[in-house]
Amino acid sequence: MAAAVPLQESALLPEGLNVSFKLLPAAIVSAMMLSFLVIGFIYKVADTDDMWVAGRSIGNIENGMAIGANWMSAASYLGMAALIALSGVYGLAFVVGWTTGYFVLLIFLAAQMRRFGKYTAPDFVGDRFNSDSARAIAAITTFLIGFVYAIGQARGMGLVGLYIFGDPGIPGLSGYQSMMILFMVITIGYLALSGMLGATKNMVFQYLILIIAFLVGLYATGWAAGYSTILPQLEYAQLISALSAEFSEPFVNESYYLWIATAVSLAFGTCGLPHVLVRFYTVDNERTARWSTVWGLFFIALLYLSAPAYAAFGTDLYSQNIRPAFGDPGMTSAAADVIVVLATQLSGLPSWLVGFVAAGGIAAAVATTAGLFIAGSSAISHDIYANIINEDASQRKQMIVGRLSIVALGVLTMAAAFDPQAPIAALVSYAFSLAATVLFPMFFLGLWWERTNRQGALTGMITGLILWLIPMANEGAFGIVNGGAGLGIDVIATWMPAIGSAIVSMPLVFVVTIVVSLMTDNPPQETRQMVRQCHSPRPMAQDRTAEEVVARRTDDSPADD
Amino acid sequence: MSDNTSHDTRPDGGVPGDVVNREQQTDYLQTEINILKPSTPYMRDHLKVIWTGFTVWIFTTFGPVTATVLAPDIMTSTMPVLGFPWHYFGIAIGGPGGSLLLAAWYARKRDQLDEKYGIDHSAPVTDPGGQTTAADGGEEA
Amino acid sequence: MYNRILVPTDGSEVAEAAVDHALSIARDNNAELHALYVADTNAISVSLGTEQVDRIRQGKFSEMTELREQAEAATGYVADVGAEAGLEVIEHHAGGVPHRIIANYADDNDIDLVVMGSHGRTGVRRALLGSVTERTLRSTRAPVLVVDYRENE
Repeated sequence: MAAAVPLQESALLPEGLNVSFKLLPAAIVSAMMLSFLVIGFIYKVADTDDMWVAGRSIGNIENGMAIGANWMSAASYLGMAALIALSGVYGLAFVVGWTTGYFVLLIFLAAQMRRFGKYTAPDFVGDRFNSDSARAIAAITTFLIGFVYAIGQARGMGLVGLYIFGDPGIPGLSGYQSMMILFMVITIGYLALSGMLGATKNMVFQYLILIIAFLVGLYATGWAAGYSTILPQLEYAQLISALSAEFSEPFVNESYYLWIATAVSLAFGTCGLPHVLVRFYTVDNERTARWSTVWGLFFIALLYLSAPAYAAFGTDLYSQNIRPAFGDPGMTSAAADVIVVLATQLSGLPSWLVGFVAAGGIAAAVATTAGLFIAGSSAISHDIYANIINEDASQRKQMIVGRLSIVALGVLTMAAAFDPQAPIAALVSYAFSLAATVLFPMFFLGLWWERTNRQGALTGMITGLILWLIPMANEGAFGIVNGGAGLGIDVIATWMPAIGSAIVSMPLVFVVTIVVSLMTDNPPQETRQMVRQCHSPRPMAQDRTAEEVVARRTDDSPADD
Repeated sequence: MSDNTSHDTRPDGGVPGDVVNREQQTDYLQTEINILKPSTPYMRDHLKVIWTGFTVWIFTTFGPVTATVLAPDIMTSTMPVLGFPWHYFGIAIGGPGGSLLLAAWYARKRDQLDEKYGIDHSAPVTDPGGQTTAADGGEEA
Repeated sequence: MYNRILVPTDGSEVAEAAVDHALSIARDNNAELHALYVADTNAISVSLGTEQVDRIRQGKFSEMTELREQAEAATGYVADVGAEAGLEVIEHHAGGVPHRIIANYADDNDIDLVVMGSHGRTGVRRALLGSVTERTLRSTRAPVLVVDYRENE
């Protein structure tokens, strides 16, 4: 990320943001988090007295909102407007990448995954490629994805937290760091509490609250500052010409190549994210899988078509009230990351309204982090522990391992978010690059080419992991290599940037996997039939996964093929 | 490849034709899945839809930004009515909007394919409970 | 006196420790044995994610291979042992909060005796993990026989 970042970055203090303790906004944040818990508790899963009796189906719209809720993270809520404000047209690569990926998911993976029917992404990898090692690698990747993704959320929590609670002035910790830790602890507490209460995530409620907070903020800001009336998502067009050329002029901040690399990485990363794919296992049938995705994309688009408007308003307000957003020193990335809150504040709206918008941002970060931690911990407890290490593990043992993993994730994330070297959206993109490089090729090839075998998959995944680590080390992500300066190899930094490395790594992983699969033995007949079953158009019996359909067939007619 | 056929003369009252009959007699477990070489009528139709959609997707997703590189002067001019610079509109609204429309289009196409081949997802597909010698293991009337 | 005996089981050795006791009493009373497996939805939502709980909610238990196999193995064990002793065993699978489901089942099915295994945990571990057995004890009015696993080495 070559956006100009002045030195005060290290304190991560968004200039212009009213950093002080505000009672009403603090109350709103607490109320919002509590409401998630309460609704989750009230609507918790009723006891299922008889598991063999069909229950209530979940419809397309509800599934769609769950998909939308998955996407309401600090990256969408805060980070996107941030990059659009900071990097102009390059920021739009995030808008495009994070929405268009769902179409690719729809046409290539959704229905087929539904037919495959397992629990988790590592389940798919382990079963499709007949390999515990593959399963373990996929599980580790899932854990890594959860971790890296969460770092971006933590940054969002820290920055927005400054608005709500101010700087507590803890010696040794900057305001940002104190807030980040506070909200990460709240996240873990939220998870623990909802576990104890048996409160499940109510995705519909979550989505509605967050989209309302965002849109209310947008409409109010647009109206208060005189930019828009009924449709800010279109009316901000007029503002674009008034803003400095850097807002809309293409390729002044980042190159065309970087734009494409980022968009590709984000779009295909979407198709490789474990917690996104898991939802497709559990929908009613394939038709539901398809239409739920359409609705999901609609709900996501509601936010994604609004974010650029918010960015435009924010940039203008910032330039008028603080200093010109572009040029030297320009807007810091810390201020950009909170531009949604900042814009609302600068347009003179009352602090409770600003607090509502800020609460939305924090709630988005907390809820997403909670979800990611569960995805990461289930990779450890279900995939590695229960499937590989201790096959007889009881539910309680799995739960213990799961809980410990959550704590581990929490600690790791906090440590890494202490001094995040990049804006929210960039941090989250690293996770997408990982998903696009390691997992997406496995899903795609696993479902569409029956010749893909264990050796191919293993080689492919390991290659992918190495390829992902290269630009990360090169750019010094998480301050690891050279104290954050990284290896600094220019060729890599230009052609394989960490934020969009999948454009190079993903094709390489495809090639490696295909070549190795061709050079080694065919996968077993049952596996190939499993793949075929995923493509058969006939609806499967309710109680079958593709694996079982094949197993039945093989039992009944041993002289097969 | 169509040995061991299933039940399948379902009274769907529906679609006549050779193609559909041929399809209904196909045993998918014996059918090689290769994305580049579809081997059943359904897969052929399905893959046509997929590749069409994917191609259009490439244009709606990467087209606007590429056009901006190739013809920056035209693309940065302002559109009438809405007042967006063309490239901004194409990228910020065309990208997500295009994918949304494509998604709805694809779902509709699949529904049509289902109708054509007599597939009904809402009909309960009962499985004669457990230990059957049903030779097709998983596809029932 | 004991006509219907309930043996809640999660398939663990702790649970199976109780089966012999239940069997013996059932034989003496010529009682009906009920084997109940409860999928702990709280544990599932934390260890596998809410989507899996959604699946149970939609009645897709039969698709959830590992869970189903675990359930079938757990109650199947009781069924096998009971069959050997010539007793009738009714198997049941449910999902939710274990102690509540067990208590409800006992009420709904006129259970005369509940036989459960227990870890016999003390101290911190007990505080952290709690005990389904203990909670069941407090939730149901049927007599409960607790068989401590440790002693049963």
